[in-house]
Amino acid sequence: MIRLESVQLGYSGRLVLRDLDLEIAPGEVLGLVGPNGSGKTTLLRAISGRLAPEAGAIYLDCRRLNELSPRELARELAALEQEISCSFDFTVREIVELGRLPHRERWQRLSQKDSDVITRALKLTKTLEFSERKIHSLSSGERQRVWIALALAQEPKVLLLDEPTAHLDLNYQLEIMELIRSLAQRDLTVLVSLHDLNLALRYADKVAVLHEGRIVALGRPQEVLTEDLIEKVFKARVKIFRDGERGFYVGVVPKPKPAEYAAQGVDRWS
Amino acid sequence: MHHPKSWLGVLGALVPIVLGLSVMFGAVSLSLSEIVAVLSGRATDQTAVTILIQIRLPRVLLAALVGGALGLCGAVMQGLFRNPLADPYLLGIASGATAGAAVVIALHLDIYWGAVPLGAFVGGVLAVAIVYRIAQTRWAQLDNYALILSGVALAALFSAITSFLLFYSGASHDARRLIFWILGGLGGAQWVYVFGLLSVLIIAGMVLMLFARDLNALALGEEMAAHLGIEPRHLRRILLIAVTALTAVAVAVSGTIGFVGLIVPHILRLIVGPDHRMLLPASALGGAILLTLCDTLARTVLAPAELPIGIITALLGAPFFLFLLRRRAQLGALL
Amino acid sequence: MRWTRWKVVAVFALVLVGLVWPSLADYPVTVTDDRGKTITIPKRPERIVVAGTPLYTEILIDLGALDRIVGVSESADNPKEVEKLPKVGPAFNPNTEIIISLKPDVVFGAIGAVRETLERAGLIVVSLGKVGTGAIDSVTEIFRTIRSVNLVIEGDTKRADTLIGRIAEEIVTIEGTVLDRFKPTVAILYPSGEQPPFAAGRGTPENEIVLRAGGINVFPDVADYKQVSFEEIVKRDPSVIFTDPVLIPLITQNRFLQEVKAVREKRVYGIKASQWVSSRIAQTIKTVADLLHPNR
Repeated sequence: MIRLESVQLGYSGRLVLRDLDLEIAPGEVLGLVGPNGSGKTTLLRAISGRLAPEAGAIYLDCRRLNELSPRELARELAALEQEISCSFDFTVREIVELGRLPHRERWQRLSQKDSDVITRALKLTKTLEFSERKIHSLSSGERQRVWIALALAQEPKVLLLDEPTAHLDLNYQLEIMELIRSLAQRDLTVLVSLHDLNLALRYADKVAVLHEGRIVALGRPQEVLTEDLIEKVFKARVKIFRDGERGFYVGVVPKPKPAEYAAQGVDRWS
Repeated sequence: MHHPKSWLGVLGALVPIVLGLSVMFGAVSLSLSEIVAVLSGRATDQTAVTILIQIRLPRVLLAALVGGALGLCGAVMQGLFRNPLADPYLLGIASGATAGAAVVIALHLDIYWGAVPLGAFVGGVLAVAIVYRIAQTRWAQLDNYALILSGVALAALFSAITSFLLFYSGASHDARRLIFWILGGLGGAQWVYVFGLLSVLIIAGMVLMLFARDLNALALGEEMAAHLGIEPRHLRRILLIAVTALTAVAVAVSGTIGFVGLIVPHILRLIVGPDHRMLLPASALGGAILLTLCDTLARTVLAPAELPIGIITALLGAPFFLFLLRRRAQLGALL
Repeated sequence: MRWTRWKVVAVFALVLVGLVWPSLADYPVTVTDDRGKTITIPKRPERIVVAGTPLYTEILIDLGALDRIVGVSESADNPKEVEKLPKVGPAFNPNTEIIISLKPDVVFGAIGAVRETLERAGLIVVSLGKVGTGAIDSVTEIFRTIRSVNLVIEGDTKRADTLIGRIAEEIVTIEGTVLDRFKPTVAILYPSGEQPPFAAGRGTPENEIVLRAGGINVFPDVADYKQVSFEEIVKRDPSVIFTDPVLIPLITQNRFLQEVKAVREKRVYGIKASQWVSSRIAQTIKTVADLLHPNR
């Protein structure tokens, strides 16, 4: 569905990412992980068409990204920024309506199909019950669901999410990830950058790990996210616990001290 | 604000009512029967005809058109810059137009009747064009901040030019004419202005309405709007061209009348909501009503003298801002 | 003595030239206004409105047309005779509706947008003064204005010529009395609060009157009215200062001007703007001359 070939990304001459070769299959959830500043947002920008590659090509469904007009692209791909703020106090429905923009000419009114798509998006994100409420009166978790409803209203084949769970409470984080998973099951291709490795382990089909300007690992999270990799990339010593049937989680735990420090009785991280 | 469409209807109906009432007031009192006689062409008193047709009617209509233009442009600017303090004069059009008028008046270039408004129009458009160009070349990104800051810098420059020309005119006729121009007012209203502004308002209005949904999307930020298929740079250029042209014509015929473009969109947003498909026409209608009322006050309160209309709009603006501030504190909402 | 004679000859030559003019014209007559435009007056105006400076009102009264004035601008300088007449608004921004409702045959003094509106409404507007600026800033201009107004309201300039002749004679007489006297240094200043004041320089009516009254303007290098620094005023040390009567305290109590001779010797006098430009100009010159040469 999405393919990157030898892509290099940068800003005003300064390269941020290089040697990007990536493929995301339809209906797949790809988790993008890496420390702050590793280029997750940059990569998402490139795939959403907002940043032209310095080298290489990006393909969406076998068409080159730069051959699509913004509107054509918006009909296939929906992207949500990390921080979305709404300057005016629109209602939820008014915001989700905006998702139909790429599908309508400027002078056209909302058709029945448009209304149906909007309603379906609201239903899927469980926001139908407060569709007439103002956006500023919602909690952050509810708001995040509204943004996803907006993206769904575009009827996209691909969904790009930049740290959608960043400032959410734990229950909302799980809620959003469950929603994303269920959307992927309906054949939506999802590329989501994640801060939380546990969520990546649990909800992503594949992860891509960004480090020092490259993808240093790509594959199933359980195979790719090893303690060594995490120590190398995130500079944190962790212990990965396996939770029987359900999956893995990563705990940041002090590792046993090296022998010499123990001998001196010094309690210290190495 | 549950039925914004019905509010539009109410506003639409109010406009002719306010116009009709305003025509009845003035320095010279004309009875209702006299007015009806003049309008239906059966008048006998030539003076009443002259007063009504040559002076009052064009003035009242011009007030409505200028108010409508300023209200509409104010709403667009607030939506485009996502800033509650944005108004049609944000990018220096007011100081540019004033400088243009000053050049014509002080240098005695007004060889024919339309020179001062033309000078003001050219000055206003030139100011915005320069601001746009500066923002484009000096800043890596032509973004809103670049435009606003360039606008501030250029407004200062044009103000200096105007001040110098004022000094140059000394204490002559010219200085007085210039000061009056700056204060703004609809006293010079004539039918040519009415038809001119009406045409520009219709064209610019249609263009702006076409992009009303785009303005809605812009509320989520330029990046999100881009994700929805909008090109923020193109959108900004088209909107600024339409707003600049319309505002420049309005300022050319009535001077720089403040506060209307700033207050009216806020008021109407409280009434019909932030959806620009409703807000833009509502702001136009609201602005028309407000300015017509202000002008009627301006020319009747101290008759035969006229209060500069800027004073009345400012007197309304100050308490309104206090109210807006209170509301912000209560609701925590920005706009 | 020779100088006085030359002056007399010059003034009377001006009057003669005016007489040789087709002064016994019939309606329609034409005058040139301050835009350089030719205005045609088709018949003798019976209803006259003054919508500008009260100078026109003065002139109309002096020319015997008081009974034909139907409306005047509001002004503190209006002659007493027009107290009871309808007012059309302030002189700087008269009300077009009221002017039209008075059904005037001619309107004096309106300029700018007001003039355009009145002309569009079909009224005849006559505003005089130097072409381009509209300034009436010298005795010559006042005379020209008197003559033009007479032409408009009577179709000839007979009365104007008589009036001008009388005024010219009075002026010449006064000038004769100050001719050989010592000329005191004078400044005409218009203060504006804490800002440096405006001084009247060459080309202003104040300047001309002071010169005719036997004084010397300490600011001959100023063109029209310009702001001058307090230091300059102190440096040039005028012995007499003229200003507007209400502004006198702003000069006498100004802490920068305490050293100036005029302030020290309490020779700061008030002359209103309407006195500097007036058909009673001779009276003004006499007043100024009396103040400059008290021992005459």
